[in-house]
Amino acid sequence: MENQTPDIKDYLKIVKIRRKFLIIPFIVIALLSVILAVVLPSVYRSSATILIEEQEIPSELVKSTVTTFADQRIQIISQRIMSRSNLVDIIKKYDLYADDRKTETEEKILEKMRKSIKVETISADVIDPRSGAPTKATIAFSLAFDDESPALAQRVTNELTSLFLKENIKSRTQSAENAAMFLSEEARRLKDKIQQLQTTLAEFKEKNLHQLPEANQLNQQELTSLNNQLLSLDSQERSAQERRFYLEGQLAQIDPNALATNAVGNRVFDMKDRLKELQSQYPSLLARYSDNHPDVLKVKKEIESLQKEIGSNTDLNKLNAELTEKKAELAVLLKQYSEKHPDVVKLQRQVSSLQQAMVESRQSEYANSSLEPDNPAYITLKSQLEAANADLKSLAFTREQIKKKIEELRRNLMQAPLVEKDYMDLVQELNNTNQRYQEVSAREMEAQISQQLEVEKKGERFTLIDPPQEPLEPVSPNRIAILFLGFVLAIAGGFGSVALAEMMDSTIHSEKTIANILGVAPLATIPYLESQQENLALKRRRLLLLMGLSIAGIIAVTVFHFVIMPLDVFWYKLLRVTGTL
Amino acid sequence: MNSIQTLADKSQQPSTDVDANSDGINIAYSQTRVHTPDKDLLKRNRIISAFPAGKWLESYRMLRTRCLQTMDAMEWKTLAITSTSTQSGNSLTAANLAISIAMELDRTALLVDANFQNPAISQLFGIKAEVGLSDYLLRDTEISTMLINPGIDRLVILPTGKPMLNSTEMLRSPKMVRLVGELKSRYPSRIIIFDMPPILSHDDTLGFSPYVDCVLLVIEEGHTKTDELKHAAELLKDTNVLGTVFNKATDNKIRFD
Repeated sequence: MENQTPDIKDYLKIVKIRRKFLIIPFIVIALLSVILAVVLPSVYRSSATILIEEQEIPSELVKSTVTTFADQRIQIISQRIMSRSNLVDIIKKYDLYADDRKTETEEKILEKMRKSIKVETISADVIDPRSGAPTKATIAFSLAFDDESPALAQRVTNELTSLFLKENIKSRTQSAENAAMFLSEEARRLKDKIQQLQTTLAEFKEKNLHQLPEANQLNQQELTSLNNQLLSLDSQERSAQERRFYLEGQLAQIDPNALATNAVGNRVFDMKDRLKELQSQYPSLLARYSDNHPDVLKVKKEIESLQKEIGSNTDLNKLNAELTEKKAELAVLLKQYSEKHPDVVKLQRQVSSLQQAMVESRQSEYANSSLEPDNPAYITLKSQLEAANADLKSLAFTREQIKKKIEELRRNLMQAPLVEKDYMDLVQELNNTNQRYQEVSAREMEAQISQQLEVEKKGERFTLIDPPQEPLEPVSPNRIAILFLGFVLAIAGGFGSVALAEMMDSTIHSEKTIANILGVAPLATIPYLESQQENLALKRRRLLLLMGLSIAGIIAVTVFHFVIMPLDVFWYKLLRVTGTL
Repeated sequence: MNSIQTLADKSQQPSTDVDANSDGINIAYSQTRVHTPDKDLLKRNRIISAFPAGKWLESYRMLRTRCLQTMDAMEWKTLAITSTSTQSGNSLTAANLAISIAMELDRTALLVDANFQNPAISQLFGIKAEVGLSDYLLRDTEISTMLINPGIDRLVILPTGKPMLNSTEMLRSPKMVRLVGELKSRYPSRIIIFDMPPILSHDDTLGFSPYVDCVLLVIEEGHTKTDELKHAAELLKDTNVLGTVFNKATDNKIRFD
């Protein structure tokens, strides 16, 4: 009543009463843990350490195209290594998990193998050279493989390590190669583009040669000079014209044919003059005489011969003028006289003969030939006039030329801004492309160097510093830990089951309980009086229990021997386990 | 010691005379049958008279003394012994308590087996009793003819007799009440102990409890449940409860050959 909370004695009593609940779980769990500790197969771990070496040539000089972080690359490579086909190859090569392969699916075996492969990075505290802040850098990593056989573990680790190293080199070279290839492809493409642009530009220039911005100034200068030329041409033309007018005036006053006189002072007729004279005599002769008159015939013959000689009968203009004059004379006479008047008839005959002569002269081929002027002054003036005329002609031609040129230049200047825009665009594009090409080709060069770096293995590389060894000690299971844990668990299980039994059992086991319920302690406690029979019965029960237990134990051991592992093996293992303790 | 007891008994016996009153109750010892039981049987049945003085005996003596102290103080004479369920050692406690009371030189004890459901007192002493309490209640058989002395001085046993169907009703009958009163008043130093059936399984005890001075509850270790004890305490809250006995305590088991 005064002490209602249970004390240690009560607990001891509880344990004593329920010792079965304590002992049986304890023994069972402890035994299981012992069996587990002994039976669990030893797993051996072989591991290799691979150092990540920085590239030999300082990165300021040669930049690697492989820029991923080391851990990331390790991860990527390990994923590749742990690919299904790779692992299946290794399993087949080393005949791994021979027992499991008979029963388990491939997936499970691969899973098991992946669990057995361990890649752990080793970091060191370094100071970032750029920021100066302390960071963690991966300087090495270890690769391990667990297996029940130490030799196999070592061989597989070896295989995995070499795969790892190979894969790293392969991926680095490939990456560098890809970068170089990409850049050279890009450079080639840009080069093509540049060529194409250049061609286009050349064509454009050719097409718009005079409208180009470069030609603008030149055009303008030329325009100015042409304008000046035009002005000077004007003045030249004026002066040439003046000269011509003057010469023409002079020329009009001078007879082209100077009168030549022979030695007797008679005027010497040239053939033309003679012809003219004869021709002018002929109509009056005809008027006077008949056609068969000897004089008429004589004149006619002379005319014909002269015509033949000169090649031309008469000057048409002269004939015409004479005709007109005669016609006017006739008209005057007709007013005074009748048609029968001899003068009129005479005039009419002259007119008709003149007309006849004109018709004849027109028909004759040599009508145009004129007489060569022979007056030297005339000839000089004439030639000067001709020169002036030629000057004018050439000046007009030049002016025309200059005008055309000016027109063209103006047109070019007008069109220049339009052409300039397209031209500038083209030039700009060409410049840009050129610039890009230069950049890309510089990079291409770098990438090629980097590729060389990888090819010659001068870049960051993995070096095997600790090759896998055949492990001597198993890495797991930790048998001592299992034993210890089993022991702890056994105790906990025992006491736990006792506590559980105590909780489930509501019967009274002590006077204290009674005192707690009723508030009054019992008047007296009568101890249990155990008779001999009861004692004997108890002993017999215990004996039977013991026998039963031993039979069960023997059966268990037999089952263990045949099903799990032979006892001698178990004993050997047990000795080894206790040896490690 | 035995001889002294016998002497004392003999010296007392003549004084007890046949006395038949109006109810026809005769409880004089002169006609008491004396049955001397087999010592081995007593020992097997754990009757304390068969054991030499020892620890086990002492615990009964402790019980006796504490019971008597309270009863004397309250001037109680009748005591009903019950338990929460069967097999709690109810009858054995009654018998051994009666014997230890009888050991006191100035007291006499009457042990009444009122457990009609499972009478055990006669068996404990190895007595073959054809008649008993039921015969008195049903057929008015003389009480004096039924009383048996089990070879222990100052102790008399009243067996149950034939089984009764309506035991509760009979225990509450005026005849029974009169008998209790008569037994109480006959001798000033007599303690009357009724061995009753379990309180929770039968209503006999509950029905009879108003006619006794007090009740003693036997609790068995590892057998009586806390709920049962609480329930019993609830039922007995209007009755004088002398106390409890913690029986078959395993803390200090005692072996005997």
